[in-house]
Amino acid sequence: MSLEERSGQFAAEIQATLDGVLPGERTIISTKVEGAERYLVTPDGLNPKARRIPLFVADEYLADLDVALYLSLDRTGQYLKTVRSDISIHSVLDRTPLLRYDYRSDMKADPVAHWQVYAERGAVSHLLTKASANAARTRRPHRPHDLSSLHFAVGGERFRPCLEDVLQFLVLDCGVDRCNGWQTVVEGGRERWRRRQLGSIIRDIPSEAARILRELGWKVEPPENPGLPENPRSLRTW
Amino acid sequence: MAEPVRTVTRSELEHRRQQLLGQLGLTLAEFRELAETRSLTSEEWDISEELDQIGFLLDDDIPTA
Repeated sequence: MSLEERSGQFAAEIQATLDGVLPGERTIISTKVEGAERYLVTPDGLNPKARRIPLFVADEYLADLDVALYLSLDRTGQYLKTVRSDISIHSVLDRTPLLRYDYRSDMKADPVAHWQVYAERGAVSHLLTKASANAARTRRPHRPHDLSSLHFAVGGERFRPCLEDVLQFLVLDCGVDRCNGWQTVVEGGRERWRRRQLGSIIRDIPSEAARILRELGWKVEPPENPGLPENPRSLRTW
Repeated sequence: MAEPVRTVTRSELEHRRQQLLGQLGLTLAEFRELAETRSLTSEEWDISEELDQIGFLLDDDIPTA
């Protein structure tokens, strides 16, 4: 299967997950530029506003879900990986985000995977304003009073939450309208995601996987050609 | 149903980026700087998202926020 076909298959998986959880219709597509192996998986639409997925509570349209997944080649240069994802929830009253869950594999200063909350509380603003003067220069926020200047780290590249976690949060904590059988879809997608992440971790640190398997009584021998060096960075980066 | 993979040209994306920056009346660098110093309006958020996505596909992106 070509990388282009794989990106289309990935888009179809996201489509099935969203269709199994959220009522309504949408089409998830993968977009690429001719001649490049970079793919953007989003709902179809002419612009970001048109690509948002409406969220309803008791049939009342109250918010939008924004999902954009960025795929590019992994370090082997042979496989696609998600190098960035932008997932956010927007109120219909104000299209700026209420919540954002961002992941960028090449994040420099902020946590690779993090939540940001766009909300106000006086006591937090007071604390942040006072504390920002003492923050490391590289981490000093440009808007110190603003709660959204905080980045809540959530497990780094390999242990970060998946789309299904966000969908379950929307259903259970936010009470958005959902399809019958949504939980089965979420749990199936989450298992698929975590198995993929497990595979990625094993490829990052195969010696650790071999050590555990030997502890469990498996016989594991290293290959003649171990390939790329181990990649513990994903375990160390916040 | 739409095709699962849509191919666009570099010139289409570059043209769209110029359209978006024209709406703002700013250069890309000026918009990046603005995003660092104050909260974006809802219209600016939409443009920021689209500029990020165009930048990624063209492989010359500098995230806005």
